[in-house]
Amino acid sequence: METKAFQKIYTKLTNITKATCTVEAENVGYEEIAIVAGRMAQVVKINGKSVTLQVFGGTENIPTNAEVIFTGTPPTLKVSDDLAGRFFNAYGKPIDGGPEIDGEEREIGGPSVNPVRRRQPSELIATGIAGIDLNNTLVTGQKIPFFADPDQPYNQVMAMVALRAKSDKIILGGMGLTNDDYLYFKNVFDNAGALDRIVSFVSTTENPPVERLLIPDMALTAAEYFAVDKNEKVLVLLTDMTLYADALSIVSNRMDQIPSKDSMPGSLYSDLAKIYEKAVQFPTGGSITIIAVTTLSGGDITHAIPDNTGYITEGQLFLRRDTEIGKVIVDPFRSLSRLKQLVIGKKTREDHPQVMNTAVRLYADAANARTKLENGFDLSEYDERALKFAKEYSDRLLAIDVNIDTEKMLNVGWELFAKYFTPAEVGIKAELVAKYWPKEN
Amino acid sequence: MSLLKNILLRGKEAYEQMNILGDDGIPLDYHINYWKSEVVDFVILQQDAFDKIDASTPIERQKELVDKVLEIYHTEFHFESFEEVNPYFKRIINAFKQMNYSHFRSEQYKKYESEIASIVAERKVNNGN
Repeated sequence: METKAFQKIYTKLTNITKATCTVEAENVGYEEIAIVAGRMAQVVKINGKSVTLQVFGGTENIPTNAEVIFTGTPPTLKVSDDLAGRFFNAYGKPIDGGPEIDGEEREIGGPSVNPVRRRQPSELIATGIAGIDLNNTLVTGQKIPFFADPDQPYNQVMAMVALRAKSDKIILGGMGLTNDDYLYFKNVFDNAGALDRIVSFVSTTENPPVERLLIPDMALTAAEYFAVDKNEKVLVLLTDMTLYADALSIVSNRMDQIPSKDSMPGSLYSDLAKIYEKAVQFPTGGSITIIAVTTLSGGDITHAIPDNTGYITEGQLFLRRDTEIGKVIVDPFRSLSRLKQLVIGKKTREDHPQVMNTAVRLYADAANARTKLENGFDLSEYDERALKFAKEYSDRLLAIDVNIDTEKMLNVGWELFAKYFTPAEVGIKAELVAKYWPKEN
Repeated sequence: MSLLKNILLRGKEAYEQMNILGDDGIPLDYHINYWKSEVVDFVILQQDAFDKIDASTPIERQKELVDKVLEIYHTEFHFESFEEVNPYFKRIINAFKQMNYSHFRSEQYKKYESEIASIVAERKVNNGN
């Protein structure tokens, strides 16, 4: 984005705040990228001739006669097959030391796909994690977040899901990643030999927070290129959307907008929906699946960010540490994939819905038994069995270190039913019991 | 309808007492009331939307089902101890669920109908004898 010949250079700033500066200029558009004293900036407000620019790096040390150059376009990304295997910053510039991408330049942040061009998602994404595949099956074209506490290994789980999912491309949008997390993703993808199908857009904690706002649009523009132009199955990973929303609130505060709940901008729902609604299944086979991370503060799901997210996305996945087995599990009570019914029992074995429901019901019995135990009462013989079942179910199916195919998960389910319960207690359809209940050897 | 709601509320009360006082700290009747409410919950309220037959229940079938469940509710059962209550009602619930998975008034449906009747007969208190 260097200057071109005969380009207008403005040198008279009329106002400077901590994060913005204002200049009198003409023929400028919203969201246009500008360079202020060599720093990246974006148009956030136009009032007549007065144009307010948000300087991503802050306005410290910018003089009133700083050179302001408008690039004439909103942020763009050059798209081509060369994107694969590369790491970029929030402006779509390589940060891995490699050459610039040669390709068609596209504006980021366009509209999402018209519903008439979409198809009902119907293809499942296998992750090998039973807490997901068995209980909360993911589907291509779905948008779903992990609701996680900051201390939970959500980035590890997401990297695992990304590598196991049979997708053609994985786009990582890293917002406010620590350098450790950035290197973790880089190493994991590298070691798996999967770098050639991964494109990463990363803004670490070292970069100005407001830059994060460009990351999802960059990632989704790349995703749209592969899904639309190449008919590929694309998985987009966005971590962490809470930090994205925090950046939104910084901007809106600086622009003197009246804050809404939890000091978030009133437009939070639309801002998030603009991103998540890009998830799509095309009739041609291309698809964009979005798996995001929303970190919670103290597990509070009533906060504006998870609350609004929950209305947009198609379910959520909760991670929880099961102290009984000392592993992190996908919590079956709080997690839900709203699109699972489109595939389970149809793309998977017929007994899937019943095994799923029954196992969770028996797990709930165990939770009640545990309450009883904590209240200091004797357990019935059934309670004892339920607790033993829950422990093994948690260890062999819910834990995130599980990696088996769906049929094996169902078989393990039946094995556990038969080990701890009678067919009457399990209450599954007789036909299925006759077919799948493990026979005594 | 308000009767069904009452059954559920009484079951919930019994369950709360169970959690406060323990299984052996409440009268046997409470256990029975709780499990009768569980029958309503499992058989009428919990519909299996993944099952073609259970997912669509015409009004006539619903009426028959509610009548059967209410019959269970009005039946007086005899138990020696509370430990017998849970497994017994689990059997009733299972038979009802299997019936819900069967085509209305099919052979299979009738089979489970009579299975329910025979389970009920096992512990029914015959007044007047």
